[in-house]
Amino acid sequence: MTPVLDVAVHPARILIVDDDARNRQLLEVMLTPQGFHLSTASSGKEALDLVAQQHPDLILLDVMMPGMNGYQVAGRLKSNIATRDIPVIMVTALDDRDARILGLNAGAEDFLTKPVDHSELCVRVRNLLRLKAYADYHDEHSQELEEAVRARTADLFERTTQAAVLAEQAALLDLAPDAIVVRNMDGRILFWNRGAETLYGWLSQEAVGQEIHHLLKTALVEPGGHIEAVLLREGQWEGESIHHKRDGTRVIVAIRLALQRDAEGTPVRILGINNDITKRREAEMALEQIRQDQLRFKDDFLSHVSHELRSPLTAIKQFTTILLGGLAGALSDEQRQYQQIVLKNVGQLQSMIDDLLEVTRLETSKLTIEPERVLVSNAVADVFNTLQGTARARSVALSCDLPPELPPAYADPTRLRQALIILLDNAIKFTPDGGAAGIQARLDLDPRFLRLEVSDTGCGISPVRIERIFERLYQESEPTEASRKGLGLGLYICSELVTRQGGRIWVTSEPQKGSTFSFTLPVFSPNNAIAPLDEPVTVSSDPRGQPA
Amino acid sequence: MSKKTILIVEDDADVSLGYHVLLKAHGYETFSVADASFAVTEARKRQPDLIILDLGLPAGDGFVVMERFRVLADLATIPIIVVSARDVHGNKERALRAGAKAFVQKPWDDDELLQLIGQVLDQAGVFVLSSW
Repeated sequence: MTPVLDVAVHPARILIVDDDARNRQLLEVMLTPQGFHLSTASSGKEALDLVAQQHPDLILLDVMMPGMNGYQVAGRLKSNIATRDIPVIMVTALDDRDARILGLNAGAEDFLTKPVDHSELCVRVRNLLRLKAYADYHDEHSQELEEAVRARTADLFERTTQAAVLAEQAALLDLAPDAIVVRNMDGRILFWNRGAETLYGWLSQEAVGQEIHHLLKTALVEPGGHIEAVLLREGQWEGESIHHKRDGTRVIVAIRLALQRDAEGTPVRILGINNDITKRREAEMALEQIRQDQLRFKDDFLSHVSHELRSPLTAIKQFTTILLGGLAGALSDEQRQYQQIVLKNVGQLQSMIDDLLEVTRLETSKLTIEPERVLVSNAVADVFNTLQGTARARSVALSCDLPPELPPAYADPTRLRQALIILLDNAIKFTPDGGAAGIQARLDLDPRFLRLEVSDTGCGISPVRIERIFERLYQESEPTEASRKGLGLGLYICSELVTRQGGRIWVTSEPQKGSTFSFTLPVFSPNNAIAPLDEPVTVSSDPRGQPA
Repeated sequence: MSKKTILIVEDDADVSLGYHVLLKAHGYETFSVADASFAVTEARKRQPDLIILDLGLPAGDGFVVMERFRVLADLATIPIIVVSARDVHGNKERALRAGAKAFVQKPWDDDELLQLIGQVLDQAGVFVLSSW
């Protein structure tokens, strides 16, 4: 690149030094038309002062001056680092070889002989200015060049360091047991650590550059776009997927993805950390299978047992009823009383068998809830009918309080009846002879629900027992006459029935005064009839496979 | 008016005897078989007004019996009440689909069973009349 050297870019400053005013004036007259910026000094000392202030581009220096002569001024200028680059033209009347040698020794760049020729002056001045400009340019740009070289060197050093750091990081990532895979937004693999090599069987050099889902034959359970959307929105995604190793083996992997964006926020890379969870999943599935098998076995077993128990119970009940009905001859009062006791115990045995079966149904999700529009008053009337005899036998007074404006419930009528029978039967059982039990219903504080209450005037339940009363197989730790008669499954069944109909159940109790079991049921509305309550949860062992 | 006849298909001899005692006392004529294969031949011979059918039977269960009855013209219209110790869940629906009029679980309540028998016999009468 050739520097454009135009001395007229800025007017060159020229200092004229001569003790003779006429000589100074003559030079000024010759140089002014050239556009130079001129200043003058009448002595060497004045010249040095001006140079220090103005830093001229060129000095025309007379040799013969009183005080400090031209050689001395030149010597001073050239020995000063700040001024030595300023070209000096010695103007001398002495046109001889010795004078020139002295001048050159003093550091002058050129000579002019008096009387000064106009053209020669202009040419020499221009030439020297041009040379100075070259020199200045060179100085300036060599500095730039040096700067550039320094920067390049630093960059190179940094790059070398970075490469070392990257290599070190890659080595660290190779230590991780997880498969660590970096890919670009097109799914092309950029990085593949040793963990990935071990997991999938593809070497880094084979994997890098491949499209990840193609390489791993990702089984997309969920549409891939969904993951992209989550990544873009939240910056990360976690899930599972099914991949295939190099040899075709299927692996279930737990995946964590993180999105990297550049300085402008554009997504550039996806970091994936994959873990092989095949063994864990298979173990879980095997366990789940065992659990299912056990449940099925228990279900089958209980069905079988209850069937086998029912048959002899049937015969006992049949003949007790036959005897009580006088079909085998009249009974004495005492005989009748004893047969009544047999019959009552048959009833208890029967309800225990029913409870056992019911619990199995709850656990195997065989119990179905079919909610519909139900009038609580109908259910209560039905339950009263069923338990009237039991209550009368114990002289327990039954009462009910149902506001006429009560809205219908959204419930399964059979299950509602079942829950109410369990609660009212318990209430009667735990109320001393001559006490009272009853059912109340009203709108709950949350108007989307009805609240039903079954209360008794029994001995109450201690706070410790209240906490566990809805647990399966919970029994009174100090068995009373009443609590002996049951498996402790009734309240568990009841709470399950209520919960599965979308309600909740709780109990309040006051020792020696009585207890109140309360539960809620959703109020019927056309909306919940269209969108029924959640289906009972079915246990599924399917792995929720999701793509990487 | 002649007595209504009820065929009892029940393999438990005690339970079977219990039916006889109860139903005879309430004015029904009864006879019984203890396995599935005799059920068809006895029913053809005696043409009962109603059949009480157990599900767990030797030589084919109650469902097999109902299957055979349904394809035999002279037996297809005889009402059947299934009385079983098996779980209501599943079995009731299956029995009704197979053509039973009702499903009763053992042990039953005598009053309820007698009431049900009366109802089914009444319906059967209406059914016979309307089919004339």
